[in-house]
Amino acid sequence: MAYTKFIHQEDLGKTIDAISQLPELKEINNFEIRYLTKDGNVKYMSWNAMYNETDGLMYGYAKDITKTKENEYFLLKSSQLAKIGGWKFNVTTKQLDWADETYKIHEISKDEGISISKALTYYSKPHKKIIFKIFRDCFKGHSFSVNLKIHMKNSERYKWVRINGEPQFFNNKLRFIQGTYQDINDEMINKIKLIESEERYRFALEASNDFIWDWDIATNKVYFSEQLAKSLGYSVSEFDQNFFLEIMYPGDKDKMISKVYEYLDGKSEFEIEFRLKSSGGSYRWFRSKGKALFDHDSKPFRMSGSFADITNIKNKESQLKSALESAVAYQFALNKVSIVISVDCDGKIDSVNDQFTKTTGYTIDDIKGENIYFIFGKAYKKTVVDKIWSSLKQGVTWEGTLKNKTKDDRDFWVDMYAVPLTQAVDNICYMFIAHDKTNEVQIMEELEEERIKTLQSSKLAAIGEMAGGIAHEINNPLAIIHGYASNMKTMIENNDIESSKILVNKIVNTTDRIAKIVKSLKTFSRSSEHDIFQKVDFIEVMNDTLTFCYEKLKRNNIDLNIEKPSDSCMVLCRQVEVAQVFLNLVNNACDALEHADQKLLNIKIKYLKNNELMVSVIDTGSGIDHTIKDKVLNPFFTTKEIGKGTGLGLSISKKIIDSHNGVLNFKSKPGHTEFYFTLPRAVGLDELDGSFE
Amino acid sequence: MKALLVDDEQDICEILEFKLQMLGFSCDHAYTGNEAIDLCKKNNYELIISDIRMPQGSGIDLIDFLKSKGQNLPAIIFLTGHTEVPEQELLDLGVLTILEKPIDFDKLLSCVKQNLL
Repeated sequence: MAYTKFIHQEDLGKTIDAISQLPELKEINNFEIRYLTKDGNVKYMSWNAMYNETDGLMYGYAKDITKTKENEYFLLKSSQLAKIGGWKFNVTTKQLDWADETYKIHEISKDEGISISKALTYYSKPHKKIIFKIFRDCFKGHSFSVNLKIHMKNSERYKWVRINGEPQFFNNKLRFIQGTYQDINDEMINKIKLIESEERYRFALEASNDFIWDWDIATNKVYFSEQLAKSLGYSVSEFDQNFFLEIMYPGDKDKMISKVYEYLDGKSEFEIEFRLKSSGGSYRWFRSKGKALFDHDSKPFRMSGSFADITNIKNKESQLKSALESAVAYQFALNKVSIVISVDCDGKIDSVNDQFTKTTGYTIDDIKGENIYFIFGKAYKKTVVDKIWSSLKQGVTWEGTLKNKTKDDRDFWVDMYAVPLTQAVDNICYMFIAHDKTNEVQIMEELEEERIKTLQSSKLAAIGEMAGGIAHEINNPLAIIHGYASNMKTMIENNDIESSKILVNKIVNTTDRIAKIVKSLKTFSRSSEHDIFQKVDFIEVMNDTLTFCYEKLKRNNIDLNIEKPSDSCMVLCRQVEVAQVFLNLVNNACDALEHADQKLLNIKIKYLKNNELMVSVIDTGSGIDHTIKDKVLNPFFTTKEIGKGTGLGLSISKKIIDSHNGVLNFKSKPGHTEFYFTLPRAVGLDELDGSFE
Repeated sequence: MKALLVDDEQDICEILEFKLQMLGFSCDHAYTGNEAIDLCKKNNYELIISDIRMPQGSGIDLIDFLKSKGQNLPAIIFLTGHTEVPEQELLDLGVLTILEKPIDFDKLLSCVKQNLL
């Protein structure tokens, strides 16, 4: 096989040339050539060859220089990449020479040439001083390596360079100083950026709750943020790694050490929670994360990381845990006694408990996935549910009492709490918790029925006392009508039509008088059952009620005087009940005045400062004897003769006023007995109009 | 003939006036006890029809006044809702008759016709 087969294609020409020239040149040394190996790699060989004229043969030997060549190649490449130039200073001649790359770094052409003075113009004053100093050292035989800034000509730019220098002695005399010249701008800028960002990181950490630590493994020195010592109440100077381990919770120490080893062995991430004792003696929780730097032999030489004070988080965790535990207990208890309904975020029923079924008759299978309206049963009021729903959507708990129908049409009542959850759990956004109060309500209703019956009978008693007056108030106008009508008949018989027309009007007006009395009577004797709280003008209530009293007043020669505000007096009350109270007081006052010398009935109506209306009924009678003052408001207590009073008027009146959140009381001395009661004024209570059962 | 009609209800006075005019009376009205006394000071009446209870003065006050004039009492008919003052007592005072309210006009007129005409 031809020897030339193995020669690298590119080297083939020069090899053939060299061989053909060898007889003439006799000898070729260090001829470098590339060969291809069997496995396709390239090998560098260095040949030495001779031509023997005597036998006409060529002799040669070669050595493998592949390694050397590769090194050279990498050096060249890397110096190009690293932008390394060279320089040489002749101490004797003061001549400075630069390599091509050095010129390039300075961004000038080689043709411009260089001198020491020109080279120094690239440096600032402080940097020049550094150069002089290292040159003086160099004269004494010290080599140097220094990073300096050079300022570019005709621009504001500068560049970082690294200058290495070495003195060259010949015969103990310094002849040259020479070395490399390298553009390290990118490296320096990155380094500066790194420092800046590290500083920023440190600032950020110091501003936050985090502290940093930095462990130099070789010297076993640990740096801690000063803030760590401060936050625990220790002085910064005493705080080192020994102190750190000293104040660590005993149980955490071994954990910490084994965690560090595990991490350095590459077994796990370094993240650990541990406790440190503060100067006050309490332990605070910290969480630390860290990372190590490893050298070429995979040996760690530095490790650093951060601490975060997680005491608050830990406390919250434990609170949450105990809260969860008690929540479970509550849930159990709640399930036993209350209706619990969970509703998903779309407002659909997700689950109900047994109590719900017990009260409403519906099982979860009946209503799962139904709209929330269904929770309120088949007789729900849309306005009410909308109110609850909008409250929930605003994140506000709604509470109130609802009445509804069970599956088999019985009434039920619940006190309901509709609670929006702050965080959805399994898509449950709302909980409805209700307490069945059907029995309670039924008992209350029975009591209320009793109360109404009592009220009704006592009211009828009060009106009975006025019955004569009422009859008179109707009969008198009737007589007037009768009189006018008979006069009219005469007028018509006499063809006096004009006069009779006047009488027609008088008759009409008089029938109105009767109608008004009948209306008052109707209002008053209406059953209290349907008497609801409403805004009423008390003056109207008073006038209606007094209609029954005028006759009694007149019969007893009692003068009536009324002091009242000029405008209407709106109060929030049950109209019939309040009329009953007022009638009772007027009735009593009339009775008290029956045998009095001065017969004056004073009615005073005025506003109190606390937004109440006060009604006083004052008589000039002999007063209430102090021996019976305590009993006056008791049921069945009466000073009236048998058949005239039930003894219930005042006690029922007091109950009525109590139920209006008012006060009924009296003060009495001879000649002045005042019974008074208060009622809440109806101002700003419009929203109650929309209230529901 | 002159008649004085006393009642705090003007309607009553008007109705009575018409009826008495038919019988040939000329009538004055008074709506309180004091007004009645004032009219009696100026005029002499053959007939007085009056409420017993009135604002500002009662029927008894009116009789007391008339007696104080020292003249013969006119025919007095008292109207009353209830007989708080015993009827006999009033009759002893010289009252012609006492009629209950509400007024039965026919009864009243026949009483007038019987006693005065």
